Amino acid sequence: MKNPFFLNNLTVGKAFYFLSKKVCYNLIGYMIMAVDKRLIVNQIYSTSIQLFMDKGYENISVNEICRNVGITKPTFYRYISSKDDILTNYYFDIPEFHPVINKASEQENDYLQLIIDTFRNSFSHYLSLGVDLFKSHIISQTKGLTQLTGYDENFKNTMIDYIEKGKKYGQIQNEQDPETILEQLMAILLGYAYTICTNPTDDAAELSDLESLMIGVCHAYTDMPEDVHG
Amino acid sequence: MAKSYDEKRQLILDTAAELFAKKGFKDVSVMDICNSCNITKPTFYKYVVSKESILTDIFKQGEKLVIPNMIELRKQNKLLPAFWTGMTGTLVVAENIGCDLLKSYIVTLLKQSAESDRFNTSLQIEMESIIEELQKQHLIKNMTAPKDIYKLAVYLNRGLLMMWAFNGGTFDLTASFRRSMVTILGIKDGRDLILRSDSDGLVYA
Repeated sequence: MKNPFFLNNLTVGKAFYFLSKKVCYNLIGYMIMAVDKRLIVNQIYSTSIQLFMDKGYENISVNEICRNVGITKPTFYRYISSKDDILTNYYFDIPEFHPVINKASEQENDYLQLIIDTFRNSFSHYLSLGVDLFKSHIISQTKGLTQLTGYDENFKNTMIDYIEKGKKYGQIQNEQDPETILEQLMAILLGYAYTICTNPTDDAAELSDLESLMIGVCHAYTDMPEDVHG
Repeated sequence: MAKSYDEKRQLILDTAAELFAKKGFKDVSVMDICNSCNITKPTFYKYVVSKESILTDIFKQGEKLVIPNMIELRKQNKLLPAFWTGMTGTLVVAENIGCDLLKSYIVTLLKQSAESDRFNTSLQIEMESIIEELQKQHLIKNMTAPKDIYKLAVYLNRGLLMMWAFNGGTFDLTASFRRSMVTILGIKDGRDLILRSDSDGLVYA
């Protein structure tokens, strides 16, 4: 005996089957597109950076990048909003730095050294493409320089944490609050970067200088004997 | 009356500075400056290398202006005000010309491939000797080598100038620098970090 519901169920089942198949295809399609997008974006980045390094940032147009990657201009702009973006992205993407931190015994860490190492890691990254491209990057910053140095919340929180602990264990004598000390460190880093950019003769690898500057800030004194101003 | 070379040059610099402040560096052409000074382009180039070089000249002039004041303060044995005067020449110029013009100046320097902003050596020697004297008289607590203290101050100065210029002058430049110098030198407060005004002797900057 025919069960009208059976037929119905079959239709519904079939519909579900086709539907899920379609969803599956779509999903696979999206995944391929996503991988594809990443491939194209990566290729645009690596090709552009190479071109910038070979011929100078100013001399490379978006057209030239497209020609070298083998894409059209609309494709370029689908993924990237401007030429400046490529450079900015490179400098923001600081390779992660994993300092060896002894979590079990907090006070055994050298927090001043951790701060110096973190700043050095950033600074080496800024100079990794040479001084000229770093200059172009600074010039292209229109939104302010706080972003120039990868100054995101995560970085800020880590640094504040190091400074607080450094103060707690007497490794940092600067008596200002941690936020002010961080501001001072960032200002020094920027001033240092600027000096290296405008004095190409100075050895850019002079990173030990940066280290002594950082130590100078952290060890600065504020407690004065009473008689000094009296 | 015919003007001397220096006077005419000064007129061009002053006029240009005024125009830059009014219209912004990018929107002022060499022709605009010539028209305002009533001179021709060839005359302009007799006195000035380029529009960009005017910015450098304005800046360098401002830096040099502080030197007599610094020397005078030192003679009066006002060492901390002398130190502050020598260190803040750039800040005074920056605040006078404003953050937009300062940014144009920094960008101009960065675009030049030649070395352009060396440490001012005569100022450096003078400042280091003031720091040494400050240490001898126990007026500052930081006893590291004077040249290191000076370097620290210069880098800090430059970094703050850059932040100020690129962030649209959103913080008090002089106050930030003073706060940092109090810590770095190791002094009780910023009350001696003051400038000498032309009219009434010493004033808080």
